[in-house]
Amino acid sequence: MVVFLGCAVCGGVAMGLIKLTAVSFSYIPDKPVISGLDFELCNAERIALSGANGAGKSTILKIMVGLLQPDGGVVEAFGRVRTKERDFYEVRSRAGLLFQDADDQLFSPTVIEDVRFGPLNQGLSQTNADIKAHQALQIVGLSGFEDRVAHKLSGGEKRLVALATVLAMEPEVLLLDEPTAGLDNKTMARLVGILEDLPQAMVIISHDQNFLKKLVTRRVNLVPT
Amino acid sequence: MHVVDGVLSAPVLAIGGFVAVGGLTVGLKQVTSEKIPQVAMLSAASFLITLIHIPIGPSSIHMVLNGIIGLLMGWVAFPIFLTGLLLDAIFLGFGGLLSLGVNLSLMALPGVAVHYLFAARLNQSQRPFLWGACGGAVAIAATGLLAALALGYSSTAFIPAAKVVIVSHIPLVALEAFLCGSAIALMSRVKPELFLATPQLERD
Amino acid sequence: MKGVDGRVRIIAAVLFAVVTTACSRLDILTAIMFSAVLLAWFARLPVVETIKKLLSMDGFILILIATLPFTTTGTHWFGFSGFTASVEGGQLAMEIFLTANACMLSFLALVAAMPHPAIASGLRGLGCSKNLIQILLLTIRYIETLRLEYQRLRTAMQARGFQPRNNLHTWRSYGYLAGMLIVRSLDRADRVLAAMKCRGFRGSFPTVAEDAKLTKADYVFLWWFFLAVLFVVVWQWG
Repeated sequence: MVVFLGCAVCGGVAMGLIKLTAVSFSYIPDKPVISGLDFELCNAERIALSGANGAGKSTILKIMVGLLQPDGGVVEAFGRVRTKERDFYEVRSRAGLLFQDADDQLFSPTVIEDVRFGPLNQGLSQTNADIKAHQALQIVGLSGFEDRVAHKLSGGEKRLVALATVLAMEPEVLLLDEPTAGLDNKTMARLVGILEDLPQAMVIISHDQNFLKKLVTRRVNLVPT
Repeated sequence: MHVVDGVLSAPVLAIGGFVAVGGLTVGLKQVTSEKIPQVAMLSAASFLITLIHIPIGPSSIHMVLNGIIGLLMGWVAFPIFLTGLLLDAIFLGFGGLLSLGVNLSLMALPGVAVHYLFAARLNQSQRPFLWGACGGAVAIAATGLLAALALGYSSTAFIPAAKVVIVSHIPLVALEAFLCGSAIALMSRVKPELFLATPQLERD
Repeated sequence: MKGVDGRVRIIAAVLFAVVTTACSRLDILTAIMFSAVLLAWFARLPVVETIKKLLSMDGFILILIATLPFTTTGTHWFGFSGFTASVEGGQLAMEIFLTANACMLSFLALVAAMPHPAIASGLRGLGCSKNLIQILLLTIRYIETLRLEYQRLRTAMQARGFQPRNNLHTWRSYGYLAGMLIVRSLDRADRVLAAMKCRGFRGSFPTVAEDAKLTKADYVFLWWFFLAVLFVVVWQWG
């Protein structure tokens, strides 16, 4: 169970990108992970989402992009209420979710195939998808990795390629689930540098205070009640 | 099961190929694109599981577990084992191209049979070990029997070898029964939604 | 041979297996075995690894080959302590041995030596079901990931003093290990599907570039291959 800590920036007016109202969710009936959650992400915000293990942080990100259906409450994204699977097609294109385990996200044989999978699904031609993919790889500093085999990359490289797969779709919002987990200091510094330069609004789940300090504009704490 | 090229007669190869193509057609029809990751992960898992060697008596044998895949997936066992056999051939150099159909049928057909025999009984059963063990035993026994038949029908000269196949399958049946039973018992505790009243196949 | 198209190599491997299996004369099979070795050499197969693979396959047919001379009736070849081996049985055993090894070696050289994505696109080019190709690609992608998962489970067992023995506890533990691996792989399948959906997957994989046209090298290879097949066919049946 969680309590709400409101948006001090915009107060929920006009610029809301993603808004959850009174959302509740449970994996097992009668044992809610989240109940009565209100949350809002506004333009240019970088929100740190923190809370104890099992407080439902990842669950919230999944609800935002429709991977999980809430038991109650309203999910609004980019100015429209989203309920059905079909409603979320657009949301997933505009809000990119970075998974905890990069291996889940990199399912293609080679890096380039993985990165262009999203743009191709968005209906781009092969040539344009390739351009988007190259740009995304450039942003994360992995130009030249195109033909590398995904499962032979190092942990840090996997995380950055996963970020590139998200960026290639040119989302307006980034939802990052433990982006620093398992990264060494050098790779983490690199990731901070990349994220700092990105214009997207972000929701970041992380236990790493150092990392958060450098990036976030606001903190939301999930408090079990 | 790996029968190599050059052993089986043309009619046996043809029957095997025919059964395999039929099974694959039915199986692949049930694989919607949403199910592709599931089928692929099960292919990878079953490939890995067959590499695990288990001590029994003075020697060791490897798990087959076509019973489990059959119980869970029914006809989809065909594409799963086809992938496994292709990987065996590519990575390990087992099996053969022409006998692919026979080898696939030997593995997958018993799995399908076990699905129809026991899957409904297993779902929501209080005795997952029992039905898992039944599935494991019947599947591997049928595989051994079919392999012996394929050898025996190919040439009378292979009948002694076919008998060896049957005899060597007897300890395997006992072991597979126990392993499948244990595995299914664990799965029904850890992931009970796999064994709901409606079998995996019909669920959408 | 590196530049030869995947489709061509797969067709060649099937043709090789068909012709070899149909052959029964030992002299021709020996020649075929030599050509398989030649193919392996062209494909630059690693020698030691390839021999190991062939030997482990020979293990499968050992019983068959060892018993055939004694169970086939025919002209006396040799005998000891009541068992007699026949010449015909020996020939049959030799025939199976050569066929199996030649087929496997040619398969390793023609197909398995290709990069895995090339095998998949070759199969697709030959009209293999698209879903099946996707399954194959995803399986190859996740074998290493799942193997590491298996390793972690295995290490966790060993860390608690597990040693494989001949007892029920061992077998139950292996059953649990297999069950757990299947559960984990199904969980991962759910997460991978979620990741696909997040990147706009709506039930069909985007089609990527059509197959490349066959090059001159492909045709040269095909012609040589057909000539060799023709030669064998005339030799055996002509």
